[in-house]
Order: sequence, then C-alpha cells, then structure tokens
Amino acid sequence: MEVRQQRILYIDPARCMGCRACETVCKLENDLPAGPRYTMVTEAETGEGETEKLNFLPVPCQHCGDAPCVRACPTGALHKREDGVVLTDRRKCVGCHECLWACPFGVPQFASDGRMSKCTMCVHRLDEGTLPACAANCPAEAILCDTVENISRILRERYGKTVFCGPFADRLNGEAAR
Amino acid sequence: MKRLSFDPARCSLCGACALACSLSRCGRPEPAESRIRIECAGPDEPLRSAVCAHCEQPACVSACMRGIIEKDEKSGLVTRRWENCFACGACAVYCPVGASSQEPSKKAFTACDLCGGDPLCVAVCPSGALRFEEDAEGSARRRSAYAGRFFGSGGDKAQERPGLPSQADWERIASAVGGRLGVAVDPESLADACSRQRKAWEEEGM
Repeated sequence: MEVRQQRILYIDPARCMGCRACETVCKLENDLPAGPRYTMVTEAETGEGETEKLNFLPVPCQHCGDAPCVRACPTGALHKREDGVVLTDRRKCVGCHECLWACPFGVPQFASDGRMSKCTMCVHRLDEGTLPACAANCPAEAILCDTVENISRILRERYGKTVFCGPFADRLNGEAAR
Repeated sequence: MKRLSFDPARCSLCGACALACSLSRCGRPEPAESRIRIECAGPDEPLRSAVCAHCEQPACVSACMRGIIEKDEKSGLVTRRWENCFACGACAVYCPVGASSQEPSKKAFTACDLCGGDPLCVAVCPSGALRFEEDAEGSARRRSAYAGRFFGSGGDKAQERPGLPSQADWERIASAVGGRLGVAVDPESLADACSRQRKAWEEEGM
C-alpha cells in the first residue's frame, strides 16, 4: 500500500494544551488497568527567561511505515494491517520486550500479565466508521486521524484559514485590495 | 520487574558490557562467551542486545528436556540449574532473542541472571545505553527524550552513535570490574581487549 493512503494519527503540538483528555478517554476506551498508557502527554521545556515555555506532545503509537517494532518482534506477534495500523497479537507475544528496546518513542506497554499491548488506533472504532477515542475527544482538535493525503488536505485548509481569517488577515486582505 | 533495557541509539559499540560480563561470569576476557552480546543483522540494520529478557512466556522453559529452566513466578526471573544441563542446545535453538550462551567448559548452556540484581554490564556501560529499570521507566524516558528532540530542548538530541569511552571512562570501567572480581584490573588491557573485539565486529560488517 502507498504511504499516502496509510492511516496515521497526526499530532499538532501547537494546539495541545496538556489537558490529558486523550490519555483519559484512551484508558476508558481500552479498559486499561493502572500502569500501561497507550498515549502519554509528554512535557518538554524550551527557552530561558522570558521565552521559557512548557510544551506538550501527546505520544501515541506512530504506526510507522517501516515499523522497527514489527522488525524486532521475534515471534511475529506484531504486524501491520492493510490500512497501516500496527497491531499486536497478544496470543503470540512471549513478553521478551524486544519491541520496547526497538521503539524510539517508548510506545510498547506491559501490563501485569507481562505481555505487550499498545495503541491500536482504536481499530474497533475505525472498523465501525468512527474516529479513535483520542482524536474524537481532543477539545483542541490537536489529534487528527486519517490517511496521509487527507491530513495533508486538512492542514492546508487550516493554513489557508489562518492566512485569510487569522490575526494578519486585515493586512493581507488590504494588500490584496490595493 | 526490573530488566536490562537497551537503547540502540546510545550504544557506541565499545564492547565493555560483553568484556565485563565474560570476565566476571566466565573468568576470562572472551566477549564471545559473554551472556550479553551486542548484535547487528547488517550494516544498515539497528543494533540489538542478545541477552536473556526473562520473558513472560519463556520458550526455553518448555524447550528444556531436563526441566532445569524455570520461571520464578515471584521474582519474574528465568532461572537455570545448569549444573544438570547436558548441553542439548534446545534452549539456544528456541530462544527468540538468542540469549543462551555456553559455559567455558562447553558442558552447559546458561544465560544472564542479572548478576543477582546488580548487573555489572549496566555499571560499566559508559554511554548509558544499558540500564536496569522498570518497563514504565524505560517507556517514559524514551517518550520524554522524543519530546525533547521534537521541541529542540536538548537533553537527548544525539542520534549519531556516541563516541568511544575516554581514558577516564576506561578507568571507571576497570574499577567497577575490579570491584566485582576483587582484584585490580588494568584499564589499558580492558581497552585493548575491547578494541580487538571491535575489529572483529567491523569485519562482520557492524
């Protein structure tokens, strides 16, 4: 399948305000016990003095095109579905943790049974035709879930809106009128 | 349970872990006999560590014909009574991560026992690629490192392989190994043994 048609979770950290609604609905949707978190709002400080800022970045599974976890899994428990979603077959998982060492984003989670589980992009919801819980419930619309080409279209539309309806719109429209 | 966590992006391929392991567990500087080995499938493939992962569903336990490999439910460790091993090699064949290694006598297969809770390989690793930590800690640390790189706030920007250990690092490694063995270890000879190992790896294409 072409990467452009792969389904991804797109995160816009500029919109994220760190409310952790995604974490909460994810836990409820996937009925997770204490411990594993399929998505985690991660904080990073930047700048100094007056420019000092706390940034937020929700980190769910990135469902990579060439996923290192799928390559690292020795039992074939991890696989990539036709639409690009990386899924775990928990019956095949032996709990060797190779996926966690391979994942650059620290996504694989291990519950008390020691087997790996991770963000499934809420496949049960996708198959019903609804959005993943995090994307559907993000109040800032910072999380989008769609194919790569559709997300590209949405981002262009958003950019267009900021240009023509945003804070600089007057100046720009004035220049256009002149 | 705490496990050996390996971060391929931070490994400098210095070989100190394998050397320290073979010195303390086999009594001689033979990284090939170590219970931890850093491996790579090819030039562009990621590094991985071949070391017992103390799996939740250990294939070696069901593979062992003598029944001397057990999963300790309480501690989570996969333990071996390898004095009774007859070296059939079934555990090595079935191990998904290639963690079984042979005793120096070649009469038994064995694997990492986490040095009883204080792994020497972690103590000597100069670049912090090997850690002994809980799953959740490892996961949170990787997520924060990624967020740090994303926003450019530093912390863990290095995506290139870190540099080889300095003279001061080798002295620290030698004192850690010497402390475990109870003898004085020469930093120079450790560095030499590791550079020989690296040459062998380079020939293999790592």
